Amino acid sequence: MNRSFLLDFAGYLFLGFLILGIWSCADREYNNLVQEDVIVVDKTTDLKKAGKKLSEGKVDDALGIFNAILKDDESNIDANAGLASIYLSKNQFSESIKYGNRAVEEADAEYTATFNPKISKRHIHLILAQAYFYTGNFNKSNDQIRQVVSRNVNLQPDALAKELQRLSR
Amino acid sequence: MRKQTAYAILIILVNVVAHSASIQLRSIDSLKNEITIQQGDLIDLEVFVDVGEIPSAGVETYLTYEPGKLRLVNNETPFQQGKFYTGTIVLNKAVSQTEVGFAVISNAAPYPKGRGAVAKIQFIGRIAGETKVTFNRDPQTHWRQGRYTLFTQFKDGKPRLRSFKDLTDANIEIKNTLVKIDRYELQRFVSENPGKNIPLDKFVVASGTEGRPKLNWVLNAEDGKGRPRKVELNAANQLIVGNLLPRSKGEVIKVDLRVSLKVGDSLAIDTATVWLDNKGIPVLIRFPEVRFRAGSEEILLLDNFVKDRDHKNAELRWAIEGMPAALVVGGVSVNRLDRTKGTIDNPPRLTFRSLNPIASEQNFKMYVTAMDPDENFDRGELKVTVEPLPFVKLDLTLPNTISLIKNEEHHIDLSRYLDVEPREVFDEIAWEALPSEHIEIIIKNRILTLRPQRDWVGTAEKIKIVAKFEGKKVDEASMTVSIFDLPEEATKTFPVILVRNPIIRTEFKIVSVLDNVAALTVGLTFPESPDLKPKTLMMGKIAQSRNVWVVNYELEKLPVGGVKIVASVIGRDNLNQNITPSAGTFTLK
Repeated sequence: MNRSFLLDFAGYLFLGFLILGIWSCADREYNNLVQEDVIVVDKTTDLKKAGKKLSEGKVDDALGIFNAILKDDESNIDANAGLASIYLSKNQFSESIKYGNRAVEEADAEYTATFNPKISKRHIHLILAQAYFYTGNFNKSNDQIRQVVSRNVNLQPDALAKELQRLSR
Repeated sequence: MRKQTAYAILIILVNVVAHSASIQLRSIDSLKNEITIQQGDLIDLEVFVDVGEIPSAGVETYLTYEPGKLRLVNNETPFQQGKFYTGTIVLNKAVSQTEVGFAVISNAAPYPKGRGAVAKIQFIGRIAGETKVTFNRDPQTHWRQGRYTLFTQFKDGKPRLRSFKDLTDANIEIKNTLVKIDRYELQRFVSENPGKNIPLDKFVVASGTEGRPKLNWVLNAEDGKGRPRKVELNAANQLIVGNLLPRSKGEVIKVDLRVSLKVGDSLAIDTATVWLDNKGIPVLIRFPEVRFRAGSEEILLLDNFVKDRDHKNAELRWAIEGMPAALVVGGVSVNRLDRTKGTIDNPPRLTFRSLNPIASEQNFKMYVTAMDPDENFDRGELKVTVEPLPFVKLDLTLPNTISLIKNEEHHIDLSRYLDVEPREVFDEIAWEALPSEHIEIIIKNRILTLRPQRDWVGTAEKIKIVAKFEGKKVDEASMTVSIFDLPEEATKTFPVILVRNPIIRTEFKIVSVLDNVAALTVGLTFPESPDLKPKTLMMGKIAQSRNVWVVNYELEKLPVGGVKIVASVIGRDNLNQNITPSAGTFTLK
């Protein structure tokens, strides 16, 4: 009885160690997953920081952060969108168009900017529409307007400007 | 005893006259019997005989002189023996107040024959006049007195007394001691030989001296102001001129000469004055009056105003005394000499400038000095007149009419529109604006600010701006200002559109679409935000577009609760006519 108890005890002890070992392995894998998530969280922080700079009017600081992000992740939608708006404000319309197009290509319909949840893909189209307008390319500006209003429009410059005003309020 | 024997022999032979024998009294210096001396001068006379070919054993001679005119140098032994008779002197003394005697006898062969000096005697001239020293030769008087001149001649082996056939006395003229400076020749030498030492002795006439007299000079020199100058003679009695010459034009050095000649007890003196000037001094020609306007400059080429005999113009050093502080002088040559080249690197010139503006004509006086390497210099007066600035014009080139939007400030940088000469005085100009009824005019730091009265609109408000310099009005300008009301939405003539940046919400662009426009300006006002200042911006035309105008603006931050923006666009059409303004009102949140 005692032996069987001892055997049983040994069996239980083995089973316990086995469970403990399995539990330890699971614990290590879980930790690895957590670490990967931390990297994503850090970029978000940077983007939010850039968004704050933009709201404070510190455009050049935001420009630096967005550029730094793009070094690691060229297709980052937020950074491309942010740069497109910054270059629009600086009257560097070709740069604005370049980054705007990158952002539009990467963004899906449900996209919202990490640095400002109010910013959607619609805003990127608007940036492109304005940038094309200021370069005198009214056709492409109209193309972008169509993406925003989801209907076929072909506006003359004065009407196009008014539409840009309306859509950008 | 021997002397007495000789006398006895002479007395025995007294009446015998030697054929062709002669005796004379002559000057040792000139060997002449006609002698001129100065008062006090020493006369050396010798008794010279010619006894012919027959040997002579001795001579006895007596001389008579005038003690009032001649003084015997040695009263005890008046004579010194000559070389002709080498025998014994048996007589050598003054035999009376007016006579001296000398006798010598040769006792042994060989006895002399021919010619030779028997003795030498010295007198001093005492009083000017003529006098004689004569041999005693009178057979009556002198023979009887035993003071008769004779000699011995051998005959038949025995000496016989003989009288001289020819006796030549000394005729002496005693002149007053005299030195005289030839003033004319002396000054001529000075003039013709500038800078050369003056051999003073050459210009002195000393009369009646036997040989070259030793002249003593005493010199005194002084400059034109009576200050003594050092004057020196060299060993040859030459006046050393070099350091004595005056250094500046017009100045002369006066040298007083005193020459003296002492002959015995007699002293002769003469004086003269020599005037030394310096021909090597650079001579400044009268400078013209330099006249120029304040703020401009005037150049004086100095070479045109100097002449230098030494042709050392290139080495002249220039200096200015009494330079007024109000003037600035330039020019590389002032006190600047390139000694490595030996010449001034540029033609010497003075450049005058007046830095400070002046209200009335100002006159300055200074002195310019030119100095050559020998430190000769000339100094000339230079007058400089600075004329006040005539302000050429004060021309505000703004349009006669300027249009502003209601409640909008307008700034004009006066320096861009003002033509004033010289520009340097711009800061000295004080500005005043005559008060305007509806427009506040502020001028500060060259900026003219037109601030329309709140909510006032109207036309033909004339404003006047006055420029003053040193309290006096210089010029004035006026312009007409029109203030336009903000057009209502309904009366808008062309669209004024505000397009916001979709992400950077503080940034926006004002867009207008209008044909045939030359320039558009937008005025931004923030009627509900007193902290935000109105802004005027020039709009630009979009590339590839003929009628779309745009300008961007960015607020520093978006005020809480948003901001109301009134964008008023004014401009000129292609015919340079003002277009009817348009405006838009926007609220940014």
